[in-house]
Amino acid sequence: MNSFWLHPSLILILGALVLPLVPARLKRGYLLLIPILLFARILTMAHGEFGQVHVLNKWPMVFGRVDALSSVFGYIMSLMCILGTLYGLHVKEDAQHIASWFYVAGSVGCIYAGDFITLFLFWELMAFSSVFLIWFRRRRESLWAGYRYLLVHVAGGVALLGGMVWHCKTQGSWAFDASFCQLAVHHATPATYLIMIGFILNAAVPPLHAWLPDAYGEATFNGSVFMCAFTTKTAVYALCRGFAGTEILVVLGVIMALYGVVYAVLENDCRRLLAYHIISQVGYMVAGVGLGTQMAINGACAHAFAHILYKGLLFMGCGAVLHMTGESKFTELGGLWKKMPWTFVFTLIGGLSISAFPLFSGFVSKSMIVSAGFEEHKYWVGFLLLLASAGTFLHTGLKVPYFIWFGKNQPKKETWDRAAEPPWNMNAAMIVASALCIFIGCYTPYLYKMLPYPDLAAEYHPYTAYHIFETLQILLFTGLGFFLLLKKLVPDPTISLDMDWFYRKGWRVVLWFARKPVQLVDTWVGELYRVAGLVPLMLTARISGMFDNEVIDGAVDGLAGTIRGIGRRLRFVQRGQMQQSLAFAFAVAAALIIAYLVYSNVLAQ
Amino acid sequence: MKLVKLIQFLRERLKTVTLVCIAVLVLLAVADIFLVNNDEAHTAAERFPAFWSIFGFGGCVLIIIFSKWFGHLGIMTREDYYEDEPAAAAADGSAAFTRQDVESHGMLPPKGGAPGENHGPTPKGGHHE
Repeated sequence: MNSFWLHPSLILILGALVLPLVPARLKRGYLLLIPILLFARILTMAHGEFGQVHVLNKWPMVFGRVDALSSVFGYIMSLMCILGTLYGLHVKEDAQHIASWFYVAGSVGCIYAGDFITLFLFWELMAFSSVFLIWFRRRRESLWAGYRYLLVHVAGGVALLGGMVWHCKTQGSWAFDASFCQLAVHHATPATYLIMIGFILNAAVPPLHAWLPDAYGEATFNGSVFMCAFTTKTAVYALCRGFAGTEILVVLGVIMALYGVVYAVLENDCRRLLAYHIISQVGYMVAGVGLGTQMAINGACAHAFAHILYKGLLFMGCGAVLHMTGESKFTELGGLWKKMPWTFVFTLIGGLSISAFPLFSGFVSKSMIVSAGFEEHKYWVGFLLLLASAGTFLHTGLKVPYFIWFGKNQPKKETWDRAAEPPWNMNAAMIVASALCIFIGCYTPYLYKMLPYPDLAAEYHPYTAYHIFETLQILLFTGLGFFLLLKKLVPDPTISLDMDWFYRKGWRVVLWFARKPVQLVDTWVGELYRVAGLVPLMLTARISGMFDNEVIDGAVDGLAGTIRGIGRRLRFVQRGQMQQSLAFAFAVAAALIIAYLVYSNVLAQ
Repeated sequence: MKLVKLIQFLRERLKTVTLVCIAVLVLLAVADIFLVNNDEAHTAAERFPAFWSIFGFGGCVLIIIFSKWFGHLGIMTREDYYEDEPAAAAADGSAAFTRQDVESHGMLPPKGGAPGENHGPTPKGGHHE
């Protein structure tokens, strides 16, 4: 092991463990301090490989592979950790903060992992800590949604682990680096496909995506803000690292981009709608990874960076509505502009950013991927992604703000009475996120310098007249379509069936199987067991019972008598004071250790 | 609050706002036809006058109509569709395990030991001692 290297995740994990001990009056400061320390640590990390450990002299683990690709993801993850924590600063329950910090620690750990074992450990930490962000909402539905989320991720984890072990046994290397990427893209094996399945499940690529709207719509108001940033984007990072240039990802990415848009039309719950748009937006990144050119990888990273901020902002806006009114369904909301105007403005900024409006962050990131598609002469990729961006503006830029803050629907009286601007910390988080969305859109070098290929990015100019006019026409004429077809878009109080149907209703098939054929076998085995097992067992039991009565009981009674005697004497030592008992126990332990040391020294001489 | 007043102001003049928006759309399309240099276009189709306006509007209409058609194929369903998950299914005798079921198999010590204690509906085929 080389010299000490402070792993950024360690700051969060230790910070989370100490959190319950922090006095209440210092808690808010402490809650902000730890993510800021994380951010500072990530800013100060030099490139290179650190934290190498050999477990059992067999498995090399690299905890800190810091390079351009991991740095850009580490930067945005830690920034989002500050914003997410600030947003939920008023939440009293320590456990919620602990869960989210462990979750971020998992994500950051994956990003800096240089080998598969480390990656897998942090990958699972992410799944097992984020599920609490769903459970903490404490609705009956959240419990079930959490279990489904966990089961799906465990299944993905098993695929990943299986692929990793298979790959490493055949290739003899645990390294997760460019050589793996070469192999995975040009000489794909079943093992690399298994690893890819593990990754694309976390990236929510259809048909492995249904966990995302299911979980993110059901998590706590601030839990979703964390969840929308970390799981899918960590998967995008892993795909960038391991599968850049895999042709099939282009197709899957484009399907994702459109799939999310179609389901968003049907959705009545604003947070589930945003969740479907995560699928759509991650589709751009997955397509970018699939294209695999330097421009496309730059685009995927830039878009992940911008996406984390604006999607976080959108979930903050809708989370604020949920937190203040208790409602997240369009059919239960409407006309809130009078009560929550600033939340509306922030959500709109998020909506304009995701729709890639000029001067907002999406404009400078999304266009890189689209341009990369056109440059590779994959025109269908470019056109279909632009079609998806029309759909994005349609829903996130127009439908969400319109049906929550305007619309003809009048919410129930208690919803209306409860509605108000959220607490200062939630507003502050939204202000910072909004400012960053606009800053990234206006000052491109900030983001472009961080990308894996900064020289290439510096040559890319999103603000050309043609590009601005192209975007404005697509978006504004989409707006025209929205208002002309507004009647068709009025949300219905329905839910939409998705791939989760198979495991939410499919279990009935399993149950039928359990009740009919399995039970038949069970009864038969039970009968066999009774005849062949139980009768001889009873006979043996009778014999051993006799032995027990005569021999064992005598011995046990004698022993019990002795123990009772000791207990009676010891009772006077124990006076019911916990601290005294503990002190006594420690004193005895210390005495024993000293005695042992002295004894071993004597023996040594 | 000033922001509320601004929104109120715009809402009261909805007609003007709409007219301004339409004017912007028309100007945008006209500017695209006459002013913008098409040299950056990737395909020949993009040279069609106001191509991206048509693309935006057509795309939006296509997405809405296709999605609604798709949704009405049976994808959109009642909100309580999944709600019979554990409880109602237990009532019709197809639950996986209720607590009683588990207890009767000796996997857990009986809670309080009271036989009459009701932990949920008993499945029909649950007991087979």
